[in-house]
Amino acid sequence: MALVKHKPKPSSRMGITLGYSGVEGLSVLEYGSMGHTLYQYKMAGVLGQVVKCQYFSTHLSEKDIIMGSQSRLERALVHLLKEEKTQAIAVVPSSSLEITGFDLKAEVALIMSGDLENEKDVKVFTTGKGGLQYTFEEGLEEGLWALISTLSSPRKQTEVRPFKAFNLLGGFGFEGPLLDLVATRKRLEDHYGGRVFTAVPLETDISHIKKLTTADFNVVLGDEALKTAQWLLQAYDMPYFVPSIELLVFKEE
Amino acid sequence: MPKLSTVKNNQQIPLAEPVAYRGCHCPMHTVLAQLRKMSGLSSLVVGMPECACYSRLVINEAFEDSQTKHYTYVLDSKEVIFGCGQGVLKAIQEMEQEGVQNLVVLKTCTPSLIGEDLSTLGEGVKLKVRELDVAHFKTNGYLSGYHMLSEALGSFIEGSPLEVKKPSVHLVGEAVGEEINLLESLLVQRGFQVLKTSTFKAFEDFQSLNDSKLSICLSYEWLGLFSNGGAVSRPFVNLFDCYDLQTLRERYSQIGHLLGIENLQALMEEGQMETVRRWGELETKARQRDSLPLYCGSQDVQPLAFTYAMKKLGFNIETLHVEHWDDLCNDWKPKVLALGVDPNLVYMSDQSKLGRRGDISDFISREQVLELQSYMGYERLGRLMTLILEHPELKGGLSWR
Repeated sequence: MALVKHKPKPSSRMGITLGYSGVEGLSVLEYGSMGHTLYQYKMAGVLGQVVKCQYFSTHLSEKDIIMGSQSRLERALVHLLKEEKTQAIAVVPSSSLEITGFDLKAEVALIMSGDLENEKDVKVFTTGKGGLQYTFEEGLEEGLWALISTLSSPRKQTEVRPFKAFNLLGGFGFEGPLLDLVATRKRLEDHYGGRVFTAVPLETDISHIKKLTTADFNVVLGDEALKTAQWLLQAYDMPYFVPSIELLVFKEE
Repeated sequence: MPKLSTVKNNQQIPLAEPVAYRGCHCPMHTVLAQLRKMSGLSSLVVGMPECACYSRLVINEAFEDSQTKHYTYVLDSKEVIFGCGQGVLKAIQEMEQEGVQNLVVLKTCTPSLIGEDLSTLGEGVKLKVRELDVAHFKTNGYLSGYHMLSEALGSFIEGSPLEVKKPSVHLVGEAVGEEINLLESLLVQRGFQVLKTSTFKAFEDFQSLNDSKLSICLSYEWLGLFSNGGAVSRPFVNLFDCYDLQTLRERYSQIGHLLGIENLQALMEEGQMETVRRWGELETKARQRDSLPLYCGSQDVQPLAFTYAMKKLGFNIETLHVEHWDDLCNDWKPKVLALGVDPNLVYMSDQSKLGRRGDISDFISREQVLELQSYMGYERLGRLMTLILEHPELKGGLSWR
């Protein structure tokens, strides 16, 4: 790579974990050194994001890395499922584990298939694209897709709303939320008619994400949300719109 | 949780919690936090994009000195497999061309994990280079960052210490209160020049450490200045890890002996008779009853020295937070064990939850501990005793259960 004298570029892992910062009810569990996790939390604040998710870390020792031990991961999951008020858990690998080739998805699946108490049926999922070859935007894209594809479910026939509703997808960049959500919400509600049901990941919670499909359509605020919008179209027949830049950017008359 | 008697290094100390909520800082944080306060010493953070980005949250103050540079070197996927030594060497050479003369290279988790040895890179350049291994998986907390940086700083100081020293004394670190002023004025009266590292703004200022007769260490962060791998010995005495009367008297006597002021300890104790009397009373009471059990989760005290003092005051610390296990802990370990205290050692990552565990913070808040730590000597002892004696539940050493 290179000597970086000024502004270093963020990684795809940062895209995944920063992108989750506005999701209330979500626990982001990093399987790695806890210094990363604390910085992640602080960086979200520096970017002006109100942090609603909870960040946790297993921390690691040399022995865990050399022996490929997953005992810390298991202890962490047991604790989160039993003691913390969490509605979903995203397990994210650190860069150290990416290098050792630790198969996080398989290990989490193995742990969850054991005798773990999961009375509240908390969804536990992992994300891919944490490696060096992916960009921050690819991390945002992957994180959003993993979150929605894990938690969303088909709309029930009985769920009828008396007004039109739509979801906002995407809109988070390294400089923080790219758009003023309050102003954007108002403009889009005026344009499309109806109300915003939820904005993922800018300002949302797990219960809204689970009922995402009760809305009538999705509005894509950033390129990183296209993959998710296309998936929702295929899986649930939910149409999506990509508004023009003129619609998204407020102009003085 | 391992007992003190079985612990020899950081790797043995587990997290108290099954999972860390938000976590704690890594050694890279403290290295950079110290560096941003001084000019003349540059840094190169070698690691993944995360470390590069996050390090900019700490190096967040403008420098007016054109020779002080704080850059990052970001590894790519090839370097993670085949090594980054060549690339880092080129980066260092480029920094040399920009005028950097003294450089610390921070080796973060990933290059440390792949066994990268950056310590020999200084052989290819004229500027002085030191490698600091700040990988977080080698320790739980961030204290080692202070120690590593001050060790590197100590090794950069040129030349050997003078055989015939100048009549100067360094106060290394900071303390508040009347006692530090008294110590300073006593030294000045005896003809010593007193230099304070807290006023040093440039790395070159530390060069004067080589010449002075003695350094009195008031803060843990600078202890590494005197280790330097044992290559150069600079005389020093610690005052920051004194929480009990016996240790304090020994240290003041040592200072007096090294400076030729044989009655220094008596002079420092002159105005502190009430403190000495109270301490004696409490120690006597403590010997007459069983010690009361306590946790100590504070990350701000020297843990074993504090445990030693609390035992003397009648409190048996059963579970102890250890921020970082180092040589100082090795020195205190036999003294604590000799008092019959063998606490469980842990790393408590969530300091906000301490009170719920029946921790000493039930009785002495973090703010009070930080205030205690900022004082030294007899003033610190006096404040510690006041906190204990005046607390309604700990009053006179009565049980609070």
